[in-house]
Amino acid sequence: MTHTVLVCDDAIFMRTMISDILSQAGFEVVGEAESGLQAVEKYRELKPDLVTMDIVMPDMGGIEAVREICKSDPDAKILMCSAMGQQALVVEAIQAGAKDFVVKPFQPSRVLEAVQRVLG
Amino acid sequence: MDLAKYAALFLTESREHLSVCNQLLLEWERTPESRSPVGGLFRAVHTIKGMAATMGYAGVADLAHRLENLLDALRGGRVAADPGVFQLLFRSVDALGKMPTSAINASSIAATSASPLCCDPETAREKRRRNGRCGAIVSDKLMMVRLPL
Repeated sequence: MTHTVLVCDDAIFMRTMISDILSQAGFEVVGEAESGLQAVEKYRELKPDLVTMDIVMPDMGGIEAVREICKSDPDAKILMCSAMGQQALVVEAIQAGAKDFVVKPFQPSRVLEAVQRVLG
Repeated sequence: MDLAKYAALFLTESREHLSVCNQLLLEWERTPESRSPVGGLFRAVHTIKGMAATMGYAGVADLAHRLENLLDALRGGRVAADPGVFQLLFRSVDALGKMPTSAINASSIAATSASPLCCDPETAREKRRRNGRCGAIVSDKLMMVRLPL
């Protein structure tokens, strides 16, 4: 069965790269969001199997978006995409309900390993 | 992964974020007591850092990281937004604006001597000795916000 993914990042560059990595590995990217607010709305609409979530985004940040998504779906599978030096924020995101994280700059193999861990 | 196909996207998006940085800096300079432009500046610089690190443009990522640290210190009130800091921020954004094109032409660039935020404490001390008080103020602020990469 093909897993569906929602990719959330405020940079088109990062969304394109993550979508390419996942599509080439056989995942179906069903949507993209460029803010935390959009991520929450699109999660409700699309019900993806997996979400990749950036931390620093406009309107609503990634951690707040994780909280909102997990409020309505505690089983949501969310993978945080963090930058170097954001360890404290990653811990906060995991406490908010995220299942795992990858650190930018991405290696496609690391992304796919983390995705497999999150999907169990 | 073939990163070359993402280079044009990196350049376009970096330029958009740098344009936002310049607009926000001008707005902030007019009302230095305001904190609202800092969040947008931080996000734009953070995004450039993430993209540059992913592309392997170490010089761009390093300067963006140092600028991000300074903005974080300004946001947290650990550094005051005075004219010297604004001058440094404008110079740094200008330097960042010149770097992405160079970064695409050379897969990795050295920022150490070219960028206003990339001076080690020893160099800063030497510049302070040579340039006097103005250089000292800026150098002190940079050392205050210098964090390990």
